[in-house]
Amino acid sequence: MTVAAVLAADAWLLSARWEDAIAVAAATGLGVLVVSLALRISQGIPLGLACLAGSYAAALESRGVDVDLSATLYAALFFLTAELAYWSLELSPGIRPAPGSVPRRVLFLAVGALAALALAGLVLAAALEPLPRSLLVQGLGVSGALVALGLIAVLVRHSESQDG
Amino acid sequence: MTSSATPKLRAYVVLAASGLLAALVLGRPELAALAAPFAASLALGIGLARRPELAVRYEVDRERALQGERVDASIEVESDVDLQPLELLIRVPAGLACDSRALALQVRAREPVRVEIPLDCQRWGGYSVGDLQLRARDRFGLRAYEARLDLRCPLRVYPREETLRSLLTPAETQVTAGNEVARAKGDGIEFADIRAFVPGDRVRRINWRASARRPGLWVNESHPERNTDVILFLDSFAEARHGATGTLDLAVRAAGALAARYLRRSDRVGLVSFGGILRWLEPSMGSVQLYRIVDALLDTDIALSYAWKGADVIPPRTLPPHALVIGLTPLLDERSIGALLDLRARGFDLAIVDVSPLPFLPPERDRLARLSRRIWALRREVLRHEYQQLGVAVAEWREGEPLEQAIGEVRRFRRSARAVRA
Repeated sequence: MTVAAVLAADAWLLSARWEDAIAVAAATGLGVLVVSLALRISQGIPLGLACLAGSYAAALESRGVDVDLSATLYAALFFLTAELAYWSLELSPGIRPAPGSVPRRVLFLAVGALAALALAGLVLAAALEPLPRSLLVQGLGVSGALVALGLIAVLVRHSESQDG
Repeated sequence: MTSSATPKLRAYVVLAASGLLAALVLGRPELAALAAPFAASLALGIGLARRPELAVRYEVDRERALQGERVDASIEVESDVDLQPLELLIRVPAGLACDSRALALQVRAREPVRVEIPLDCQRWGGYSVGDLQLRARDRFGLRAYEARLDLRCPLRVYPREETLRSLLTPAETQVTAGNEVARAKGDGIEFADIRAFVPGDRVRRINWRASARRPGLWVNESHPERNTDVILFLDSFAEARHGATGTLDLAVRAAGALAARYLRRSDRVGLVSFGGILRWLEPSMGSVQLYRIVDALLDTDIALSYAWKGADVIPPRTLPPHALVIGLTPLLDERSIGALLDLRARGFDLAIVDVSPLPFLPPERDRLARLSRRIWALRREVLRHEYQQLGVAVAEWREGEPLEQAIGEVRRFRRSARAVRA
């Protein structure tokens, strides 16, 4: 929750316009996350995260800067928030974690957050690369994003078919 | 194991897709940077996920235990992939207690993990334990694998035995040899009387001292040692229960103790479980019969039934002539009360241990409840008196009191009743 609160505060501090709307969106995201974790409603977590990401996107738009380099840190913290939230709901109520499982999980999360930091940095570095603003480059970007989405869809579909 | 997508998988798909789309629409690479870790996690998680193959063994250290004892069950799990954690849910039947019904285990690939699960046998009965539910996730928590395993093995929990030093003596004995001194005269050790010598009497039975003082020869008569038939009549129509114990538990405990003691002295013991479901065991002797009786007792339960049943539904071979019938009943159901009266009317030697339901009743809340409780207790007194009027010994047995006390009370009544009859 602390990490989520940091994200919400960051979005609010980053904003140059629409502060109230951004604050409301960030607070809503934080509130939804708190309620979801307290009531163990896993469906609420993506909603809360989406609100936080929305507030961040709105803050970026309000500032109007080209590329915010702190987005790498924000992405890592955002990913860490999601992982921590799902970890807290992972074990059924009344089950104590197995001895030695917590340090391993913490290590896994730390590695995940670092990887997220690196990956986000890579994405931003690619975005900062001065490329000619041609239709071909934009088309490549759009098709790259669509291929990534399609790949995820194919993997999910393949994994669903294994269930049957 | 069945596999399914976790809520995390769906959420990550939504977050990655919406992040990438928003980045495209708004032209903000930061949103693509936000979505990238989720997309990468999805690709890695789904790509590396493998359905685990589990080998699970469930064992109980013994199949038989006494009520109140602790039985150690063990579960051994081996998997072909790392499972961290593997959730283990153990379904324990009512009557058994387990400290940890849900466990989280760390299972490494091809390294068997063994956990001990102590089971407290709180109530007698026949159980089957080993209904397990397993739940695991892949390393990224995107796929869940579940399995329900039926590895049940039998566990029979016998009721605690009551200490009994003395037993009820039947009015009549049977014809085969045993440990009970018969009322009839014949060949035996116990001196009965003397009588005049008749041709055919053995010389060694002549009482020379008596013969010296009287004209003619006199011989000793003795009581033979015979066995008896004892029928345990267990009333399973109704019970009073509070928490883990009830009148049926006490009755079963008493039946087990009486059967063991009578069988030990070479008597034939039979069982009639008279209730919604009628069960019976014909009288027999020996340790095999004891196991039969105890196993039948473990299956005894209260089965709700509105059908009227009398003593005529009991197979005649189950109730041999001259058998001592010991009724173990809370005297709550009209059908068993009527059946016992019917048995007495048919001439059976009957004794009743009234397993008192009073300790199992809830406390009276008001004056009306107190009054109705008193009236009910008085009606029970009247019922016991009616039995006693018919020559049936009735003794009340309450939880916490030794069974010996109730049996002693029945013995005292039967002694005095016999004197009155004589």
